[in-house]
Amino acid sequence: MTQFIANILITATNIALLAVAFQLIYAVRRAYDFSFSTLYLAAPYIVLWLSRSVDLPFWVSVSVGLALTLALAAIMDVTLYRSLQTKRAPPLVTMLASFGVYLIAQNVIAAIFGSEARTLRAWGLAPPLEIGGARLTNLQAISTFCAICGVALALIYQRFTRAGRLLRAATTNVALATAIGIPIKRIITTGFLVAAALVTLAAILVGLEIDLTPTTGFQALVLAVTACLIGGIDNAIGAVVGAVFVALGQEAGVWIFGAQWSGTTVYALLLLVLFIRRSGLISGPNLRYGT
Amino acid sequence: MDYIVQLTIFVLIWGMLAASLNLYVGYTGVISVAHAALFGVGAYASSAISIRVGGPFVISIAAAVLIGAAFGALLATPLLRIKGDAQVIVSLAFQGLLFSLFNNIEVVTGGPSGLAGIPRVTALGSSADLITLIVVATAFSISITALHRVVTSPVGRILVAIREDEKLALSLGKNVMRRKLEVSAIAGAIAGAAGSLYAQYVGFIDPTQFDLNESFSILCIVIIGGAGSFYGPLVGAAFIVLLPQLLLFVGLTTAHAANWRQVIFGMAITGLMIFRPQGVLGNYEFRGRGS
Amino acid sequence: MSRSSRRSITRIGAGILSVGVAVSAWALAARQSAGAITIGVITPLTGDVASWGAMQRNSTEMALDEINSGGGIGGRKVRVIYEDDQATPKIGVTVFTKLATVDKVPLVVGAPASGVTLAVAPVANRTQTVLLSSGSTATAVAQAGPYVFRFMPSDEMQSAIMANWARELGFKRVAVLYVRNAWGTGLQQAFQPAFTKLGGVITTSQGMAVEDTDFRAVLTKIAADSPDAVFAPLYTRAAGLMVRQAKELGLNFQILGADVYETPEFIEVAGQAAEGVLFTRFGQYNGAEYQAFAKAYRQRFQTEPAAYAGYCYDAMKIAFTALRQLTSGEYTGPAIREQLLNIRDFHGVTGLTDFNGSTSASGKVFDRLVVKNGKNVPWTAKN
Repeated sequence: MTQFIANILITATNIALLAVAFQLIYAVRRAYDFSFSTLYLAAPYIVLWLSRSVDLPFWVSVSVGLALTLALAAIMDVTLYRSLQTKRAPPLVTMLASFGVYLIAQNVIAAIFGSEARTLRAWGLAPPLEIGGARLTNLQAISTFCAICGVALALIYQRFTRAGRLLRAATTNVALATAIGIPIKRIITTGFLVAAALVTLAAILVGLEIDLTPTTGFQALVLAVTACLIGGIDNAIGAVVGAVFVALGQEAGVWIFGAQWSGTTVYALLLLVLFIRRSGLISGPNLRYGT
Repeated sequence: MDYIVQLTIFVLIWGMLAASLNLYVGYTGVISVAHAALFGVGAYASSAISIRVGGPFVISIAAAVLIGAAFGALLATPLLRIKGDAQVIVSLAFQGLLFSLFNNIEVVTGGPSGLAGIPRVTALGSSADLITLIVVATAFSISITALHRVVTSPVGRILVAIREDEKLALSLGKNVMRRKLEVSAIAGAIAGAAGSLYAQYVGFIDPTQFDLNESFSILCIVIIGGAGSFYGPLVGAAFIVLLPQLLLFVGLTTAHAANWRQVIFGMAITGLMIFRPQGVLGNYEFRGRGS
Repeated sequence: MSRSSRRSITRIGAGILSVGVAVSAWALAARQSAGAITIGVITPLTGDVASWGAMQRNSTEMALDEINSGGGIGGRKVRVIYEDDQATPKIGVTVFTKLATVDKVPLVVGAPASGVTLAVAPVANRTQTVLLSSGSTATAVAQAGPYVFRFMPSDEMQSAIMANWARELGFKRVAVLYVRNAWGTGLQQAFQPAFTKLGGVITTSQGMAVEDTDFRAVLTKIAADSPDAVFAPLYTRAAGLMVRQAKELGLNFQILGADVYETPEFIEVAGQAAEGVLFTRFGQYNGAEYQAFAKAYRQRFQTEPAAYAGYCYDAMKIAFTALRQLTSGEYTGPAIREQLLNIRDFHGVTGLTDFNGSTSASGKVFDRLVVKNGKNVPWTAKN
């Protein structure tokens, strides 16, 4: 029983980190942006390259990797997204343009690193821990802790920092925001960079726990998006709540129906929630874009 | 020659898929990534009949059309009640749900192993590729005519008006909902027919051919060709089917030729979105946000 | 859209199209380079299982270099056109059709994915192009038609052998954890009746999606029934992760694997957790041919060849054997087909291949292996 709870906790926190990262990207772009997947893909491979080929110690690789990923995010923002913004591109266009970029990134990485799974771990099995009858590894414990920190960071950023709070204004009513004097470009870029940092954290944690392949970016996105929609994509708390539901759905699906139905359970749950409450379980202010 | 016939068949089938999705995206303003599911529903319905019961191919197509229409309407029911971005995700849930049903309900669909040995379209005593081409071309023309009727009818004009102005939609009330459902059923019927033709041509179907990636492909076709335009879907289908083939010829047989082809594809999509988001033939002036 | 912009788009489009046509024509001409015998290979060069494609390419290159450095066949060099099938049936059909009707190759080797082979089969039969499958093990492949050949043993055979072995080891209660695709489902469906017929009990059967990487929930569920062992036909990476996660959860039931466990990737991913895992593998791997092949492969590609690599290599050698019996000008699909059917005792790196008038070869045996000290070694009752 405790194992069951431990499993859910670990899964839920990991998904929550993904979800808040995506939610922040959504808050910045007001669109389903594949940069989430691109950054999720790039970050751990950069760390991999730094620690294997350039042969830097692990922590140095992670720090430098984070810096490089943020640089990548900044470049993407200034080149691709600024131009989309100036053209007032609708969300669908942003989605597809970022998808194209993701395709490019995925294949470049596959060409350089190969399509087989690579692991960030330099060691073998992680040392076990036993807490109240549940078995986990110390890596999982650390990972859960880091995920919680990341989630907290996302919440704090959007609630308590000036840049975070102005994000909503800057992205939904550009004309008014400019008139008031909000530095829109700067706010968007900052928000995007914070999101990129969170994505990097999530990707590295998963890279350590499991492994890296060129295709994980897309799956992570689907998971994050599902969580955000169940919980409400308008705010970060919704993302967390959604993540808990997805984790519960997955575990319940496996236990009650069998492993092959876990995906079905989550989707059915999503449809059910959206049916009952259109904007997700926890909705922020009612936003209609383009009105 | 065979090769060209095959490519033409695929272009027409995907043209049908794109044209029907175009109805959703371009004319009712609904964004759906569930089209592959409708495609699959038609393919499985048709194959269940043609393998178990046999008989003239028209019967299998008819089954696919009916089931496709039913599912098209079924998808539309929740989809049309949701606004904006969330539509994508409801359709995503629908797609995911149907995919897992394809994968798990083995009695009907054969599960992950799929259905093999689907008989070909036979007419005039022959099952040559050319016969299939003629049938597909006919189906394509019928679909386009039907769509043309819908689009130029009073209903169609209302739909275009609604796409441009949400408030008008609200003021028109229930009638609109009914019309949209009808349109969705038609779109589903066409997608189902495409599925039936596809299954009878390739002879083997499995769930992986109707997954989220495929839905994305179809959406790309609509956007590239130009959402809301009439011939756009065909142009887009030609682009998506033929470009990889062209790249095949130009490609070298190096290890990473396949990767580079996808990179070029990604660049094409992103480039198109930045420089010509309305697609090749589109005339739909996308409204910017926050204007 | 304005008339002038429509015109310029048309012009640009026409320009691109003509350039494309010109380049393709040039490429095609270059392809039909004088005198070479061309065969096709379809394999997943990109996508989730691209490592199989890489293996195929490596082995094929080795076989090609060997034959061409020896003067080729009938004085002509052998050439290969690779096409990426992305392990997707629809794409497989398109590239195979291109190979058969545009490049006009009489023989195509590949594809590892059973789904692709099954989809391509009707085209092979219709165009009378031989498809020599280096990997598909789904049972349906045997009935796929006169032009579809395979020499890798079927899933049914492997499951039966595993079921026997499990009972031999005294396992009564076994859970099955399989990947839900043609391969995994095939093995699972064959294992269950085989095992129960021998008096065993299947505690539960759990199917995972191909891309699943988190097994903790399903492992916890399986453990609740306290099985003696778990038969786990999963793809290599997933298998490695599963085994590792099982160890980390403190679960100690015996893991029984399938042929893919033999790839180096499995031990790399699972690490120490791989110790003691039992699995079956195709072919006689003690022969001199295999040793020579493995050594050359290791030297050239710096990695161990998996069983599949051996099959790809043998596929090429079998193709060469058939081609050698024909004279120049006779390299057609039907002629090659005849030759293949006549092959009775081809000894290659995968052991004996005997077609004997059928499109499904026999002659293969299965090895039993165990992972010991980080290496795959033959299993004996002692260890």
